[in-house]
Amino acid sequence: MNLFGFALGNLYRRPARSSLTIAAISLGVASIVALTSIAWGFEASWQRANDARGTDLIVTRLASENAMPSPFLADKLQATLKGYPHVQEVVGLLSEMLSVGDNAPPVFVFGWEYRSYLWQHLRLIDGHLPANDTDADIVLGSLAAELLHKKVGDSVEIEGRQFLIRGIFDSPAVVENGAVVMTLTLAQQITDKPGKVNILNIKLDDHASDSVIDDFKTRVRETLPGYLAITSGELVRKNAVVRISKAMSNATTLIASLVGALVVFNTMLMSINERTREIGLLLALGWQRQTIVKLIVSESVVLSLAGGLAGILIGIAIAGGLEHVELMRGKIEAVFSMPFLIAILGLSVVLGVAGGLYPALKAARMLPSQALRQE
Amino acid sequence: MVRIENVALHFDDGKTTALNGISATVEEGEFVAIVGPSGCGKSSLLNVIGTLERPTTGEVYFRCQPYSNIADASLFRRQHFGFIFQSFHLIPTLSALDNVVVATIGCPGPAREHTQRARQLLAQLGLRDRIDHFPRTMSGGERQRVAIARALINNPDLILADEPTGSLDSVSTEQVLGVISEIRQQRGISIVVVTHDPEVSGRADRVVSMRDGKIEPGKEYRQ
Amino acid sequence: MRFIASAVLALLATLAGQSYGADGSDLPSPAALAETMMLARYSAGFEARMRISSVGPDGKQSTPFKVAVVGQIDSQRERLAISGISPPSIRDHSYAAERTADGRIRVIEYGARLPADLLEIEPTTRVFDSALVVWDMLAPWWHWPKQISGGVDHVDGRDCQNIRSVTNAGTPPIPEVVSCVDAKTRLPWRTQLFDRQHILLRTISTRRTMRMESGAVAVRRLTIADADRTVTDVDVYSGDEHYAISAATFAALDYAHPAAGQAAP
Ligand SMILES: Nc1ncnc2c1ncn2[C@@H]1O[C@H](COP(=O)(O)OP(=O)(O)OP(=O)(O)O)[C@@H](O)[C@H]1O
Ligand SMILES: [Mg+2]
Repeated sequence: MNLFGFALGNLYRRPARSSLTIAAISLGVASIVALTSIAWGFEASWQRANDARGTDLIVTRLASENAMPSPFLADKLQATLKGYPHVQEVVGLLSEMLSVGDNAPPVFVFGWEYRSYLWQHLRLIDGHLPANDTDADIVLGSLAAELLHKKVGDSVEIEGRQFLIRGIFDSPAVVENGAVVMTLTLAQQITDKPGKVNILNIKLDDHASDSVIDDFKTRVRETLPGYLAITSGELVRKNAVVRISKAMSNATTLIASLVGALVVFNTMLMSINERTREIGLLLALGWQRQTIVKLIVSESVVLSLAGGLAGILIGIAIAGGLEHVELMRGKIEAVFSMPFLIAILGLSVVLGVAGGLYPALKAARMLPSQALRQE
Repeated sequence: MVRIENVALHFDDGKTTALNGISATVEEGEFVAIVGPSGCGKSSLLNVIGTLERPTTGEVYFRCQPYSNIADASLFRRQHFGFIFQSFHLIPTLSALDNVVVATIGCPGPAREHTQRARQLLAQLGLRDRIDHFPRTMSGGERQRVAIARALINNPDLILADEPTGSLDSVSTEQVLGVISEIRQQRGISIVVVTHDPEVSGRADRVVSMRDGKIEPGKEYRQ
Repeated sequence: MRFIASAVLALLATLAGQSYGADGSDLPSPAALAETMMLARYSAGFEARMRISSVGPDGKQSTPFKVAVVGQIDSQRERLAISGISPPSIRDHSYAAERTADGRIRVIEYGARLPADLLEIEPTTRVFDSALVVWDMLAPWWHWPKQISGGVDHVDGRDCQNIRSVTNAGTPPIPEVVSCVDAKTRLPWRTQLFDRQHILLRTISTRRTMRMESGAVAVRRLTIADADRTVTDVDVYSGDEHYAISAATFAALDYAHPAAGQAAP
């Protein structure tokens, strides 16, 4: 038997308390894992959508904090941007959250310029892409099709207008899989925004380097007041949903960590109070105070690590479950990475140390003669 | 081996006096018994010798080293003292073997060697087939022998025993006393034992009698 | 009602210069606040799309519908066009309203084939039989000369300043309006409309707001509580603060000009 074996034995002798502590920590860790992975999933999915579209830069309206940029007239700006070096295509995009049909929850409706490169990354599962710019035809993302219970050939009503579903596609981006895509012209018609877009997508040629991107951004900033050029990655990080979900996951992490540390703290404090005589004995036997600290901290770290491991499994299960809840379908996608899971285990260790340190120091500071007298 | 000079020990800010100016010595290899009425300070004296309690005034020397100079009391205890208690103080969740091994945690050297030594000690004390038993399944005499093995595992110079037979019947007392004499013979260890039991004090080289925190002069005798 | 007025106007409010906002601890006078509210609505053109659903006193929910509200408001004119989006029964049905030079509110109802099916109606007519009233949406009470301070109040935990607007001019359909106004966002948290006998007709409450690109705050959601305890929920789900007004937008008003007649010339 060594120190670690002794620590495990001490936990094992109080199975109810140890498992309750582990359960409490695992719930906290599970909520951290679920929310954080979903927040990252949001980000990753938006990022993938942009990457898959082949978009290098986005030009949009400059808006203040927390405000929604409004749509703008694309015409003149599009022509100007086409003249920038290394620019291959400048494509307008209009997006809105609209309800499709009667009692359905709103979905993203994207309007993409007809025949632009944006359409190329869609993988059709069924049917065709719209055959021209103006017929009332749309394509549905696979998840949207499932959510709305629609198939190719069905028709749907959006903003009072009937549309024929021409095709159903799969996209690398969850956001698009849950969306309706139509031509920009149609999107402008149904929302009464003729000539307007939210975003201009810029595709650069293959020779464009990072410095070309930087120059592009600078030039927009200096010559096009009110507009902003950002890379798709920057846009994703600015996205309100991404930011809110990240803020939520940060807050949860903070609260759950505090609660976790308190739970460990309470458990270990109870445990050393119960074992006062035993600790006095160990001190009388010549245990160094630091060995006592190591023992108690090992116990608390084992608890929090076990809680962390269980929490990771529960968190993955929760996130997996949420992805399949009807309402959330296609809107979330959890992302787990090895470094993230390792960081969570690291956090568990920190919780254990933080929660166990004071009880450990308290135990180590006991006077052996007093402790031995304790009944 | 141990020299106690004018030691006083007060508790509760001086309201309680446990030791009231004690001077005494323990020689190398000596077996000293301390007797006296309850509350006279016997355990306190033992604790002071074993560095579990710091004297309020006075000084204690171990082989000429003053206790006030000891940097690490834990290490000092481990190197020189073995404790035995009336109530055994075994850890209920550990087997006999682990109760002995627990005293070696944090000691230098491979754990396997410590375990090996613990086995040998337990065998030597007649507990070969109790090695994997837990305290609650053992008799009082067996438990105290486990505690003795634990006190011996780190090769102490001095055993400090506080009423080691106080919870034992006469048969177990005999066994335990036999074991203690054997160890003395084999290892030449010094022993200070606090006891009410004439069986125990009868075997000591010297008996010291205490009253009200003091040694009763003239009542100390050699055998 | 207020909702359009507020929502749209709030949208528009974005355009009004910041200088109108109350900027300090001392309360602006009711007249100044009324003017602020009026100016906050100025817009060269805006559109707000809203989903309207209501629950009757019996707990029954009526079929929700969607409308688009387009407006143009400045010192010269105040015009609104309201058109049905869905369900199909209200598609191609529209209302156009304006404030005339003499301060009267004109409302025209029309269909797809202008000028054939065009009709001038009462300004207090309910839009598609809902709790929305065109008159409310134009918020004419901010033009009334008599604005009385009602002190500081709280609505849903938010501070606001009460203003009682009263008029006797002509025979206004609603002579008295009490608004609780937040000078900072220039939004009314609550608007209460009273009839001639001081009986409360309806209360319009702002439930959620949103920040526009310009930084101004607009109404995102409001409710209208009618005297008969019907509660109507108005949700602005889309919009455009820089809507391009075309010649066709308010054509109905021109066809029906200016005689207070029934049909087109
Ligand atoms: N930690 C302490 N705090 C306060 N008083 C103490 C403490 N330890 C001992 N005392 C007091 O000091 C006196 C001596 O106690 P001690 O335990 O040394 O007596 P003892 O001779 O061992 O008695 P017994 O035979 O009952 O074990 C007693 O009055 C006791 O109450
Ligand atoms: Mg005692």
